Amino acid sequence: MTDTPHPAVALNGLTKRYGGRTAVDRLTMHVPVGVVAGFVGPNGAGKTTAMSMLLGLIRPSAGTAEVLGEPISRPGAYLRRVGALVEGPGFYPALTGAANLRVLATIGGHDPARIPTVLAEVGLAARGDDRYGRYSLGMKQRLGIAATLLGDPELVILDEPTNGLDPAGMAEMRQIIAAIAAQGRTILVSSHLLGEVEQVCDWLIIINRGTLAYQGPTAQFAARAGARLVALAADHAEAARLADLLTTAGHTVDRAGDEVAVDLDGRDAPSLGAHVNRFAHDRGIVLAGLREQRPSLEDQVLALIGGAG
Amino acid sequence: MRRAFRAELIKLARPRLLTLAAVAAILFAVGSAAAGILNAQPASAHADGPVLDGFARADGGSLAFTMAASFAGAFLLAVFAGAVGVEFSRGTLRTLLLRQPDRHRLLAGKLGAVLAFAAVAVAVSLAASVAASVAFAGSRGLDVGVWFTGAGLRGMARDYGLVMLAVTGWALLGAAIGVLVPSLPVALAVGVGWAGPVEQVFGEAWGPATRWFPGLLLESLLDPDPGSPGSTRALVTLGCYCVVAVTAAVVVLRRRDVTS
Repeated sequence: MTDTPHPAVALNGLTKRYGGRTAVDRLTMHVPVGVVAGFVGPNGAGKTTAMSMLLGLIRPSAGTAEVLGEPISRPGAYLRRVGALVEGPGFYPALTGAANLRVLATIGGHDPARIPTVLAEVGLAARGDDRYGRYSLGMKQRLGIAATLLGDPELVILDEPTNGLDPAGMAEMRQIIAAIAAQGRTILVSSHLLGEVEQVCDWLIIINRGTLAYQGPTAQFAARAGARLVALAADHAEAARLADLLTTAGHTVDRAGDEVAVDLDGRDAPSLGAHVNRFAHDRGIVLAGLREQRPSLEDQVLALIGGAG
Repeated sequence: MRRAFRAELIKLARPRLLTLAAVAAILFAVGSAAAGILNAQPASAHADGPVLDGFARADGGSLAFTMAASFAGAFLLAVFAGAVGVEFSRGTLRTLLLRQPDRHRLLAGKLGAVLAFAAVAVAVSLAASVAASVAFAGSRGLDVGVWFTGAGLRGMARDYGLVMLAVTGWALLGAAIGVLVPSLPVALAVGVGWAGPVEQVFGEAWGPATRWFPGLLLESLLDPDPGSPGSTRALVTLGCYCVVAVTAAVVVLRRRDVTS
């Protein structure tokens, strides 16, 4: 793989309009080389349209973009170094899985000797000679991933690869994506399943209504949200008294039933936990439990985009 | 374009498709020979349909085949329109474009492979038709020796060329419909509707239709009626249709967003 100073993907004001509707609106973002980037947003946010523009399938209305340092106006200059699965797998149902890959290897000028390797990488080594039309949805998705790997790509672009899969299929797909990333490839994967993204992505891009809402390391985004300490009191009355006392002492609290949530306000959870425990004990309040509570990525994204979708 | 051609051949060279194509080609050939020779009437009978005297000529060996091929237009148009349309609707074109972003080379390579396949199928079918014609000729008192003279073989070669010319014309027009009409069912309806009822009904009702409608012109190349234009005029007119259709398809294909 080449060492390039460019980001793997860079968009600058990329826009796609269909008549009066704007699907992607001046989108500016980038994907650093070597990351697994999660491209998230609600259904209809413009993820697939943006990806399709990167791959030369859709013509932008305005703006520019580069993939592996090449402008998207010349997809022939970079598509050999990119593997992509957009809008689900599209294969010939009458051909076997291996024959479908042979068609793609031939048209793409890739080495057909890689077909058994990529089939094995996605767990289809034993089913390569079965007709594609007889594959399950999960197998079809896996064949789609195998096709992306045919050309030993630097960048892999996957559009909703877990769409329609059951939990076991999703777990398999996560493992496959992790294995691809471990080979040193840059991955841009779109999803509206934020739990999936949280588990596999170290770079996060959030779009909503075609515009960028956030981009940066996933860990940094997760750390933006205020974590809280939750104290479990013996009963409602004790919880109410603890909440009042903590408020009077200057803490920001929120009570729900027996639970009192205290904002960390910059302190680390163990030290605040010790403080709250001592505070309660000194005032004759018995705590049944203490735990740190962090909002999920889904909660944070929904808060960022205003619950759209 | 060469890679697209070879990739399409992988798709076409499936044993099942080859068997189906061979069976269809042979059935068409035998059926055409039977329908042509066994139903032929002497010219003196002044009846509609095939004339026995035509089969007695040197180029009579492939006459049944060309006459039958002239009726296959609507079917061929639907096949080619459908073959292109289904690539859009099934998402396979999208998958291929991710490997070969030059859309024109991709389509030209695919079309070239399909025409190469058709060339073999037509050759097999013509050979089977001649063989069947030989078998049926005896019952009508025809001397088949004349079919295998130099003039007879040249006639067969000419007929093969004319059929391939017609197939190519239908292929270009069908592929253009497949590109221009985004919906597969609509593309098929347009193709079959135009080549079938529309041209045939107008052709009956309006005399000049045989000189202007593409389907009737292609038909006239293979089985000219007394009112048909000369083959040169037919070829020039058809060439114009094909240029317009291909140009429109190229422009649309270059600008079209591939979203399915």
